[in-house]
Amino acid sequence: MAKKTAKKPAAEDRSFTVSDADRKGLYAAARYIGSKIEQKAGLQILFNVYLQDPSVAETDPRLGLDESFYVHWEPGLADGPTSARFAVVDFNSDTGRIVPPAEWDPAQQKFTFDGKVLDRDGLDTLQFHQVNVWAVLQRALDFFEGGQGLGRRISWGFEGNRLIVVPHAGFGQNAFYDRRSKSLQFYYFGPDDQRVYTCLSTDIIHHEFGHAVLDGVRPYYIESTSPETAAFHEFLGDLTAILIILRNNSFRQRLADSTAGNLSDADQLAFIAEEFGRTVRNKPYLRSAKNQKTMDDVRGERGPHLISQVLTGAMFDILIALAKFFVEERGRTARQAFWDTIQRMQRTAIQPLDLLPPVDVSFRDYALAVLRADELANPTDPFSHFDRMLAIFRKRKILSQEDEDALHEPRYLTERLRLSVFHDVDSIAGSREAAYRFLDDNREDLHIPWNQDVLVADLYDANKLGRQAMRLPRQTILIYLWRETIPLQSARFGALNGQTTTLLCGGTLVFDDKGTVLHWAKKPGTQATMPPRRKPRRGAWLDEETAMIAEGERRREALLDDLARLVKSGRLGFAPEGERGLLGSRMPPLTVRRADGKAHVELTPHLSLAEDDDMGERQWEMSF
Amino acid sequence: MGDELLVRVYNVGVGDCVYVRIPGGDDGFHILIDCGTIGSITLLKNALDDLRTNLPAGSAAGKKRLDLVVVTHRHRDHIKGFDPKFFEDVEIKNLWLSAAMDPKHPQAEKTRGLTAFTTTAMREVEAAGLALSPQLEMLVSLYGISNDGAMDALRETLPQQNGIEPKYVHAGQTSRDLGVRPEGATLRVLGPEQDIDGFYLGQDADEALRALQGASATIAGSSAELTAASVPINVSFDDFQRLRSRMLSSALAFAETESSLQNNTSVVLLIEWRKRRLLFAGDAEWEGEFRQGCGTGKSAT
Repeated sequence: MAKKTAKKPAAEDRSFTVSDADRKGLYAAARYIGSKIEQKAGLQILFNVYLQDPSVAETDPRLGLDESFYVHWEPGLADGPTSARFAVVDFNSDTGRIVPPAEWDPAQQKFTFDGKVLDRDGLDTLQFHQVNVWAVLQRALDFFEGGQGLGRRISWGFEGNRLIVVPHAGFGQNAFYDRRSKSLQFYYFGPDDQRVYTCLSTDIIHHEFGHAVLDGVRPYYIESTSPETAAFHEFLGDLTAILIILRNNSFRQRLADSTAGNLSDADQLAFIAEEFGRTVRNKPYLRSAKNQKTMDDVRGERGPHLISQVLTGAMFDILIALAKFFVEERGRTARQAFWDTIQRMQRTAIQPLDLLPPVDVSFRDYALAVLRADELANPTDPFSHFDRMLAIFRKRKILSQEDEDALHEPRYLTERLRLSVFHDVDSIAGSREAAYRFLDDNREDLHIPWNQDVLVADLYDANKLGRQAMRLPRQTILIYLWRETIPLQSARFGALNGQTTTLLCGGTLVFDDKGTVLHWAKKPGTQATMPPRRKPRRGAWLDEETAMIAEGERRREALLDDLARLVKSGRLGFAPEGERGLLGSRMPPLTVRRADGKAHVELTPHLSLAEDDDMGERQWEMSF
Repeated sequence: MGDELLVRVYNVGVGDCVYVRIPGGDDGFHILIDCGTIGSITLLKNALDDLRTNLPAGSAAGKKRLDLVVVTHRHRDHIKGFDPKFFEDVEIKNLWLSAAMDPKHPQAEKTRGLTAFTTTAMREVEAAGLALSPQLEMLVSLYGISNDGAMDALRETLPQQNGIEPKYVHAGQTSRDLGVRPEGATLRVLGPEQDIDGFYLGQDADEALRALQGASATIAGSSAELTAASVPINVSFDDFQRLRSRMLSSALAFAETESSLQNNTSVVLLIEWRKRRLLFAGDAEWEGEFRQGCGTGKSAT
């Protein structure tokens, strides 16, 4: 123990030294430790990263490097950088060579190269790029996994737990997420003296990472032929970029100071667009966010970016409305109001992802999930946020008048789901086998056809936070699905005529810690629940069964129509690929993969940063 | 025979072999446009056997006469059959090749750089025996080593064999300019434009090519083949292999650009005969209006 006479450390020396063993001990208890202490103890490491990208840094030094960018320490940090969830592999497909990786120096607790720490003094090295993209991704993952987000670890949409990150993948105006190679790939372009590295653009990283996250959270969306589901992927990419940049203190505070928090009139809104436009140049989400499009405007369209604007615009409207509320009705300063807004927006936009159905998500599904998550977290809703959001979804025609009427019906917060066989939620949450048994025991009540081998696609607990970082009840989320075989028998399916495809069906059940079902999102099929000759149930069950089969038939017809349209418009094809790589210009927006004698359709990675959904003049033909 | 114009398009699988006979004079004017296939050489042999039966006698004993051979562009499916052995018993009077096939054409320097790069890259792919989708195999096959023989034959052996000089033709030239006089007919060359780089390459392709050539120096020091030292150690080899196969390949993209460029520099031949017009366009991909600096058929943005 220190003597009383011991000299005090200098005031500016706010850190204290911890050994490796100490750090691991503290790491294990990190959830109970405040952020400031984590930083002092080396559980959060300061990195230099670009706030936006080098060109912005050059034109406006205030938006240059982020001065307070901390990344959580973890025990397995290694060269690459490599961490639990990311492995940077700097392979260049043009040269066929690996760029030497940044090296982890445990003594300094920093990434180095050639003996130098990779910070603001080494911005031009390729190893700094490696660290930049890795650090931005670590923080983005925290954004989704933290309590204000999903409140749980999220898995990737592929086998394994490490997403490969390729910072200098080759020459081209591209960056994309590719499930099949478990990777995020960032390309570079422009002449030598004006080289643009997409791995240094924070919003490109965030947009692509949004795809990776959604593919992990709902891996079956990639199999959808619905343009709205593809658009939802783009929406989440754009929204991720918008929300994470607003979480950044220096950017947000500057925005607050410039607008005085008043975002109510069109001029101020335009200012935000200008701010985004200046700092995030030529990026699609600017145009995505600031628009007045409704679902009527995009009906019949197929371009995911175009369609996504309706939902991105709606969420941006909510953000503006929240900021206005905090300033005008709660009397907060602009800076406080923006902080309150972004925290609330994170919960409002990200937490409902756990409530989404397992397949074929629509904008309506998401809007209903947003509203449901909000009423669960804020049942008394003293400031009418629910109605504010509902009005926005109505204005955008994402929700219908019937939806609004149903949501305004007098009702309780939760209703008991009629289940025949009781299962304790802790038991359901405990193992997949128990979840299977729960589903099987309650097949009839859940309208799972008797002859379908249902799959537990995912099962997890989530510990989300509400306002003032208060813990919400633990959620257990059970996702199940099955596949219905659909024959393709018409000339309109082109080369697919005579084959079969599958209609994905299933549901998402969200329980609270008492076993109450908080939310049931379902995507039914066309098959009857009960076996033949079994005496059918009547009453409410039969009404529900009839409605679900009708919805299943609507879904089947929509799938067939979508497929026929894809064939006709030439958006469906085979990926020209091989061991030498992909030929980007010949990648169709959707690829057909044949497995088990069926034609599976998959969304193709969006292989261009240009916001061009009309595919230019190239069409893809299918030939077997 | 007699007074009719004959066009015979031989079935050679994927490829072109077109015989045109313009009536007039003693025994007509006989043109062969291209002679190639992606498939078996047997198809070409059969086509040439049939062709011989239609050709008139040449000046030397036992030889047949072809008044004009037009080679639209350098792809294998258009030139594979130009083996000097197949033409030993045929006198070729005139040989027209696309200006883009001229190894010394001053306005195709950058295009030649692209072709050389692509050819090397695609031959590496072919030599490595990598697994490719059918579409890509087709693309790679256009650059096969066997093409060199046909190109040499067209530029040197066949001209020597016939005591003629090949003419590298471009838009604006006519049969009269090129010293050919089919009776009652005019041949007009509508493509390619003489300024190959300016019209067909485009700034993007040029910039990308320079970046790629520079990348060897600035990114990784060398573009040598993948070696053990070029394998990352923080992921498994299987994951790395899969990653490689799922990355965008600039070499393939260039092959596509180059292949498209070669198609677009095809000799486009208009035959006017008795107020009738016949257009032979080779593989020109006229996708849109030409715009300076954008490559043929690409939009300005």
